[in-house]
Amino acid sequence: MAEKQVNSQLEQFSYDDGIVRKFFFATVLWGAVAFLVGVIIALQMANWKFNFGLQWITFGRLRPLHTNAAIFAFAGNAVFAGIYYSSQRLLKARMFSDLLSCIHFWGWQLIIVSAALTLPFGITVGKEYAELEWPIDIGITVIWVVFAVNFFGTIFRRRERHIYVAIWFYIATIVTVAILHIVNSINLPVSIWKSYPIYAGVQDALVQWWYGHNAVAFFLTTPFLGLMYYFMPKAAGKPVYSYRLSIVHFWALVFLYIWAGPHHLLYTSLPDWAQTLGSVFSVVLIAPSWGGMINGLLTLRGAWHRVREEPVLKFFVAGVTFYGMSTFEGPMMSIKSVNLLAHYTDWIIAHVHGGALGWNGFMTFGMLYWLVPKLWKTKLYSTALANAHFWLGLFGIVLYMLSMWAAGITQGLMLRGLDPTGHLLYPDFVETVTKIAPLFWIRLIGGLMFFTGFLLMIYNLIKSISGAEAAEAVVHSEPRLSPAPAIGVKPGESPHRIIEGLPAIFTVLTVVAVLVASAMSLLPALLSEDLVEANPAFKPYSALELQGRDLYVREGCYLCHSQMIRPTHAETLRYGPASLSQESMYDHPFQWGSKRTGPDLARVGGKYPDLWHFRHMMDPREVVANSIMPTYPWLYSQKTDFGVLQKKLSVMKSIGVPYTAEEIEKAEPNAREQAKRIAEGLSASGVNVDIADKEIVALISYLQKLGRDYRNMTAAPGGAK
Amino acid sequence: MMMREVLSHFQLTYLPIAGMFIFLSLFIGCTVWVWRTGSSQVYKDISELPLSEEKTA
Ligand code: HEC
Repeated sequence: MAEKQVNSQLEQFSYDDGIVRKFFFATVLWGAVAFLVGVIIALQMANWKFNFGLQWITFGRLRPLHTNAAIFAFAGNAVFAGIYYSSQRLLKARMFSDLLSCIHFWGWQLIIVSAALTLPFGITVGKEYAELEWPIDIGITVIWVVFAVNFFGTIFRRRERHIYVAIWFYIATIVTVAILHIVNSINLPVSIWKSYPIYAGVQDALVQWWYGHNAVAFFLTTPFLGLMYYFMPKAAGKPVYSYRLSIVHFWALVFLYIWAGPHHLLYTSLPDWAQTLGSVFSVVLIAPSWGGMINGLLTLRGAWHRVREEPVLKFFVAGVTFYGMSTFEGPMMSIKSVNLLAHYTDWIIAHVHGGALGWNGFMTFGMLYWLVPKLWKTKLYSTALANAHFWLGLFGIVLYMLSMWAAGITQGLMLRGLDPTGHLLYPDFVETVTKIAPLFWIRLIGGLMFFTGFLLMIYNLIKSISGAEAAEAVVHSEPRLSPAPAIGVKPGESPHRIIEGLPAIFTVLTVVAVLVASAMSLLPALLSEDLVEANPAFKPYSALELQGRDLYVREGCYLCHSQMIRPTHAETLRYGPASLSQESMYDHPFQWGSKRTGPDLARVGGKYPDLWHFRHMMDPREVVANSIMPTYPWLYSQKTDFGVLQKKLSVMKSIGVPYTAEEIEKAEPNAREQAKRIAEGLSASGVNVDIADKEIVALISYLQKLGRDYRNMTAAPGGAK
Repeated sequence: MMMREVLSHFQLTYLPIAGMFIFLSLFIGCTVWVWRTGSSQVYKDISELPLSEEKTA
């Protein structure tokens, strides 16, 4: 290129592949953890006994560990390995700072370890995929900034004028994830391991799903698309099918994705127009997603015969195809009528695993197989084993998805089924669960196959690497871009050169696209104080109820139970009138849930006597035959922490819950008093152990509060609802 | 409050339509710009970047 001839001063440099090797190992290690924990919780779903009565590995606590390990540890490290490898080569520069690379690596592993050490203890904020408590959140922010500085520093020092599309995707990832993480994790601490989100109810739900949806977009999609645009051409030995399409793909995706978040909240008490907005944009999202998929697949034009022989290409082709499937299924599930059936069921579980195992998993495996001979002086130990991995993985995913589709659709249809007289066909929730229980075993087999394939890969990689030396760093010489790339644009050049040549402008444009869309889709949240009219009928939790609620969060009950009744005939018949936004206006965090393995609990208060809950939590099967809910015996021996309540109430007050000074002052004695009343009631019905100071009582007080205010409000003038 | 009045009477059709309109114009703009004349060689060069490493190394 012209400027290179002008400046013929050559610089010598080499790439830092040591850091790539580190992330490579971390990917494999944490992948094993994520998949193993996944298999364990699949087993627990099939039979609850497999938590062995240990609170640390009960479903509600392991499930966040599984999702965090899969997303942030496995996929995260894979993304970093791929970014560090490809960016250096695309920018013709070593990473900006070896020290920052090192801090990034070890810092990220430290975050993962602290997640693994806190989540089993029930230390969680209680928002899906954002469970980690505030000290870890701060750690994530710091490490992310380190990564960003390192990455942008490398761009600044690059020796290649053009910024290849993969780098664009990485830039979008880095800036957007930072925005998402910070906005969604603004929590007010009560103690070192406990905090409450500053948002509540509808507002919290909207912020959370703006985050959740876009974490999928910008942590699991854009970086992997960047990897696709780099590694597919590498593996195929051909440039990407259409570079132009990749540009349109990029901008359309960045612009559209953010708007779609509310599709996680269809038929909830989120304002209708916000739901419609989310729906519409989700459907449109098919277009850029499929543009990307087609671009990836067509990169193999003329090389299809090699897919038969080369495992790397097999994984990439299947991975991109799964991307296409998931991005078709997602928009389809955002259509309100489809969503009505799919939401809260295992269909969603099928969907996410198509994406996570098929797209993220397979792209990662392809990349790892491709990287081994590049990072070490070696060849892949066995192509046959890699092929076996592929087929085991593929059939594993298929079994997984088929069983969960079947489970989701079956349960969804049963739950809404009405007989000719308009009554529920299956009034007992547990009937719908026992029906699909066999499918949980099939899912387990699918998961085991996928995991076995993964273990084959580990063996294969170890065999390939053991005894092999790390590949020597090649010294490259390239002319320097002078004086700095940003100033190197000449007057006569076309505007695209300016935009592509100026990462700063490019980054700003991306941030603008993200912020505008975020502002629009968060509008109801930002204005929710105006939107949700306070109603004196709905009162904040008492101190004891709040403590019970924190136990509900600690045990991860929200991972099996929703608290959001949608306005449909079947649902109101089953659970009571549709939820109002006021009902959760003091809920920091909101507990609407996203999956109903058990029934909705929004109005469970008053449905049963305290004694029922007392027995049910000890062993659900005592009161509901065939229940698959786990047991919670430790709640009966562990003591309620009354001492912390005053602090909790005052933190709640500072984020907008209208507690009076007296309520805060007397939080502890009030809670003890309420606990005593419940314990007395229980003992009158025959429970003859002293349990007033035990956690179970706090939990019962919370469960009995759910829906109580609504009932009182409707019962006031004209009797029961 | 005022804002609540506005929001609750908000015509829900406006926002998606406005959003779609912005998106479509950006989309068309982007597409036209990408296929502008004389850009072929530039894109060809850029798309070779991932493969150029083997050549220079
Ligand atoms: C693995 C999923 C799972 C988890 C975790 C779970 N539950 Fe359940 N829950 C169920 C299922 C399934 C049922 C329906 C069968 C039954 O009533 O036992 C149920 C039923 C209930 C019911 C009865 C609802 C009704 O209307 O009949 C309550 C109350 C309840 N669970 C509370 C909790 C609490 C509190 C926690 C957390 C400490 C929790 N559950 C954790 C699966 C779960």
